[in-house]
Amino acid sequence: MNNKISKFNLYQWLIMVIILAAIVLINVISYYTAFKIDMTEDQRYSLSEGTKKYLRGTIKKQQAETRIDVYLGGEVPSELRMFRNSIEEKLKEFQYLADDNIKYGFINPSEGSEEDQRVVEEELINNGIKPLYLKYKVNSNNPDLNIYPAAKLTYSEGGQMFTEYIQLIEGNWVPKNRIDIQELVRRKIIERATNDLE
Amino acid sequence: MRALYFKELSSFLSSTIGYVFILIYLIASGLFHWIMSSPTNLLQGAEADLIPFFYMSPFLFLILIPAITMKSFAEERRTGTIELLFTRPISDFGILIAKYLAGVTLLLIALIPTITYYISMYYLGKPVGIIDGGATLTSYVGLFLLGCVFVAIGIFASSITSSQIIAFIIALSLCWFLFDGLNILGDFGQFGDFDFFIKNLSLSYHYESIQKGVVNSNDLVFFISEIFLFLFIALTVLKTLKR
Repeated sequence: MNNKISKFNLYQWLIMVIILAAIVLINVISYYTAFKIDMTEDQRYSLSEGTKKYLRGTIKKQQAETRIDVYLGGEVPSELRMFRNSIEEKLKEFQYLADDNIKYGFINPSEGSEEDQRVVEEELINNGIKPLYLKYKVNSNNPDLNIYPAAKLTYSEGGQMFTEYIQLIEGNWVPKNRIDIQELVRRKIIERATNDLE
Repeated sequence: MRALYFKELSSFLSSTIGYVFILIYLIASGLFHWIMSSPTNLLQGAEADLIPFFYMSPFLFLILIPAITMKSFAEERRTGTIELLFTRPISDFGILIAKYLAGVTLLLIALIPTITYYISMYYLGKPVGIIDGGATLTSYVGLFLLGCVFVAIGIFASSITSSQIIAFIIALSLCWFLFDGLNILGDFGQFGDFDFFIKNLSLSYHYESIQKGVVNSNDLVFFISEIFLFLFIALTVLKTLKR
């Protein structure tokens, strides 16, 4: 078999490697430039007309600076990462519709010194945010995971700044039931964000 | 190429193998979704949807598709007719595509009768027509693309060996690994940040995403590039054989 591998075959395998690289590249590009079409009849996965109108109209007109910080930064399990991605997608859409009057960011609560962490934790708990205690099935030395599924909403109204905390996921939630909760959460974000901002 | 395509297709449909594939698929899904009292029963489900059908079908395909593709190149290699095929005025790529399309056609023939499931659910819903047509359509597209990927994997597995049994086993395990295995691997939480990446590589992740009723461009790109990938590896293997 060895003497059969001639230059011709080498050439073939080389092309294969190039094609492989091209396929990987195309997929990476498509991951970052993804667009989607909602085919469901009730447009479940799109923003409602009311929200769109609100974002386009009121916020844009009033130039109301709004900031949304989500406490899901840093390293999170893959289940929550999907959840975070869907939040980010929604927020991106918000930002786009509101003409950059909405800013968003992700905060990693377990960042910095222990003192910093405690300050963030107390800030959240004092504002009525329930932490999520997860048993993460990592075999590492840190199987328990405390997550703060919360967002801080800062907005100005009549020259005054308001801050509000929103619980995104109810405490004590099993990561397996992801999709239902994801939907619930998504609806909640939209509703709450819309209502609060008004 | 067209002649070879029809020859391949008629070899499926003039022997028992094509009918066994279609019948077993339809009988199994019919039993699971309409007759047997199981969680996948559509009549006992509370909602008028086809979600159990789209959940079950990939697993039937997982077993049945490697069975229809295992013959394609392995048999030709064993009997030596592949040398004859190479001497024909048809490109290697043509041979591959003809065999691939024959498999895809068979898949399509098996899928078409299941439209009756949709029609039944449409009229069984209360009120009639409550079923989400858009989401069902994208689910069908997803299922078809998934089947196409399985056919490509089967063709590839068949090209690397001259034993049909080995081709079947390789195709079956590779299909399962790419469909579900990577997803399970991502759930272990062994790789930190790579977990999400690994889950993203699994077919089931993209299949579930398209099943929701949202057509995401990167899901389509993923399915199509997976098909190309396996067909191209098979082509390279064929060219290597020729020498």
